[in-house]
Amino acid sequence: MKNIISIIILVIALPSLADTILVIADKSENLDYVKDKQLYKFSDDIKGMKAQFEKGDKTQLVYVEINKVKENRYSGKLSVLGNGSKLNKKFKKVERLNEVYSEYIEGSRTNLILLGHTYSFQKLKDVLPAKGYQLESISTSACKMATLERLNLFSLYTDYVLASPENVHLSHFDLDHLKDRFTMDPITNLKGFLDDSFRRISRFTKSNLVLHIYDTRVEFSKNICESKDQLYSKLIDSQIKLSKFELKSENSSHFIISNCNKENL
Amino acid sequence: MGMKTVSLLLLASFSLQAISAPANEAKSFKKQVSKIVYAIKKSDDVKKKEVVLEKLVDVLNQGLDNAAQSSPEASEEAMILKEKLAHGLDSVKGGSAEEMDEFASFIESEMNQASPVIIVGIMLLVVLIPVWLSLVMDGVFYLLGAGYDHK
Repeated sequence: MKNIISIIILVIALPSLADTILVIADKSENLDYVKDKQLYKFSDDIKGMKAQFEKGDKTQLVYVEINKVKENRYSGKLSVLGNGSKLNKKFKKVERLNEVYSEYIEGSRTNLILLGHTYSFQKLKDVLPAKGYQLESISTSACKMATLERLNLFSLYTDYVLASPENVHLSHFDLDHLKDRFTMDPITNLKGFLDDSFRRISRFTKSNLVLHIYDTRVEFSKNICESKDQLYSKLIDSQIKLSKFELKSENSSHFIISNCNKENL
Repeated sequence: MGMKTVSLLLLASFSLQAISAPANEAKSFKKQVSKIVYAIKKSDDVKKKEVVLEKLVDVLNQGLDNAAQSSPEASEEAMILKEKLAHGLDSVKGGSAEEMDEFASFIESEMNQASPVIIVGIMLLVVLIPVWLSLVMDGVFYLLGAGYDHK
């Protein structure tokens, strides 16, 4: 009898043990880009990403697309693909997101990817899963997300953050092979994501491109910008490409934390 | 059709685009910038590239001044962008065609990733770009897809 109960519990628990990739995209602002007259649509990236996930896959994609933000009211679409799920629904209240998170993420090994132009601190607090979830990693394909305030917020959720203190060429991290991207330990996973995304964005941008993997196991103190050693101790891996038309030097503290106010420590 | 009439028609056409749905504004703006950058890169005349780049930076600066008024954050971003454009332009003046092209691509890149508030601010004035360019660059209207017969 005990064995039967154990099997039943195991069968019930199996779906929630899946790996989950939670992608939140803020599409309330235009995320397309145009190079040499050719339009690269963000929605094509998303189509390609979704096409990777099938119902029978163990890895599931939870995709939150924010289409409209008015003050603190959000609406958009929710999709869950893979791991036996196929959900496509609209949402009109941000509270609905937490219901979805608790239904599909709880107990799952989850990596979060944020896509968008940028996320204000308030917007992050609104759309991130409620406190208590421990995420494997957070990757932010959005401009100037590596501020002290935001990194400390991320540290409540995860030990490893991929982000940029500078502008990122919109939200065009490499979403190819996303399904198989997070199969190793978090640092190895993020290094692969960093390298592939850096390579992809480098093809399009002539602006500065700075991507770092941050160690967020210890909180970022307010005076971190006063010590170069402290700043560098927070970096696990980095990729930097400097534009010849921008003035900042590679050693600038801005290249590590975007709101550090001391240049050339 | 005289040059003035054509310019006025273009101005009206781009103005209409500027007041279209906000969601499409940014995309429309990026397309316009990209077409101009493409036209600059296609030109064989280094001097002409430089003149057009100067005009483009000039118009964008006007737009950035406008955008800067919307909020302190926009003001800071606009100031940084203006510095980059000024520094970039200084560094390519009198330079080679390749340097000009690279700077043109840099502008395209910066406009692609500018924040929406900056784009909206610039959009109010960017309608002038084709008019500016009409003064300096033969055939640019074909590349802009405006259908202007300049004969």
